[in-house]
Amino acid sequence: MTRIGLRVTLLFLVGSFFLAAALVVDGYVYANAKASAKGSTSVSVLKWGAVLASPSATPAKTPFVISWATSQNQQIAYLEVVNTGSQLISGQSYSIDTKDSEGSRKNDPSITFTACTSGVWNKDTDKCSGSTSVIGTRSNGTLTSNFSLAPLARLSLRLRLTKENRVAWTTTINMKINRSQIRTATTTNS
Amino acid sequence: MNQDSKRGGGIRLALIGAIGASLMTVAGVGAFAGLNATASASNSVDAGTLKLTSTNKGAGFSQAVSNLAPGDTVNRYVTLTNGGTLSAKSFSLRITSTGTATLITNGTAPATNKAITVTVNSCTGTWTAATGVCSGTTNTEIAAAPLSTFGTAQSFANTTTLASLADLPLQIQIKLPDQDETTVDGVVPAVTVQGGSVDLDYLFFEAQRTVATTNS
Repeated sequence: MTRIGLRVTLLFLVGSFFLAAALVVDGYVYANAKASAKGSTSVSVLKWGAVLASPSATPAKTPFVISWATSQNQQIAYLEVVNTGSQLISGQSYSIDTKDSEGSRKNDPSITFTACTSGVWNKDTDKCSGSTSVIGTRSNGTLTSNFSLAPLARLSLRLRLTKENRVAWTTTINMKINRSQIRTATTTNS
Repeated sequence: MNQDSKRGGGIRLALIGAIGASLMTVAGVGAFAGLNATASASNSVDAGTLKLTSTNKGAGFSQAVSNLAPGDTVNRYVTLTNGGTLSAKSFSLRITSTGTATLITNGTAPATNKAITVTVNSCTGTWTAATGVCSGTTNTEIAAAPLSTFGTAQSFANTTTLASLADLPLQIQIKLPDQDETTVDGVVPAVTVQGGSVDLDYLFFEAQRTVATTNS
């Protein structure tokens, strides 16, 4: 085929293509029409959690570590539970691990957790300005409490350690909040 | 070949192309007329129209859904209206979801996150948005499925046709399935739904009714 013949064929095909496309589109509208409607919205999920911090200190997302002195038989530490989530929490779990300097738990001390609700512990007088509530006594394992705490609110705690030896104990506490410690599920219509 | 000869060749090509297109046009129009209707001098033929609109009932899609907790369900209400002159069929819904992946797709082990699900219910009467009560019969159009499933349009199971200008009242049920997550020292799990957000773009579809041949 000559060059002119090729160009003629190409031109004819291009013209035919555009025409056919127009007819197909037109036929689609008449033979199989579709319509649509739009809408949009956004969905977000809340967040829950809490940390332990020294009184009035900026909360850090780390375990709370207490290094008890070796010389005294009874010692006290003050700390606070801080709600760092976006939701009121109704319960708290304290995961407690107490070891000596060699990692042993032999003859470990007892630690009593006492909360001061509607007030704070005064470390100078060891007095609670609100009401005291004993959470439990444990040096290893888990303790739970059921105090309502709004986002950014704080719960004042006192830990009293009693020991019979002169070992340098270290207590590490993880603050755990699970799904059951925030509000129950709801159904809303609007 | 001189310039005149080249110009002459170009004109010939243009003419051939135009003739080709014209022949196809004539053939196409003939086919088009044959496929639809032939109007006589005393009759007129109008093509039907198809139009679908969505109207909020209550908050509908106008308000964000915020602070969902696992297990929460939020019901929103919209009314679809077939505003064209043709009755419609083949209703479906596609949702394009963008945002936190754990809210869109269910986790596969070891991840255990459960994505947001959407259910579509219709009411043969009307919905009361404030209470979620349907004055007629409630029908499940699309059973609960994670957002990822709606990337492909999901067909309505109950409503097969909708007359011209008729309404289809819908309840769009958004649920975050219950799931347990433990936050340790304020740090959420590595795979979490907490603090996530997702934008949902809904697209409802309808098709024209089945073509009909009438004799009269």
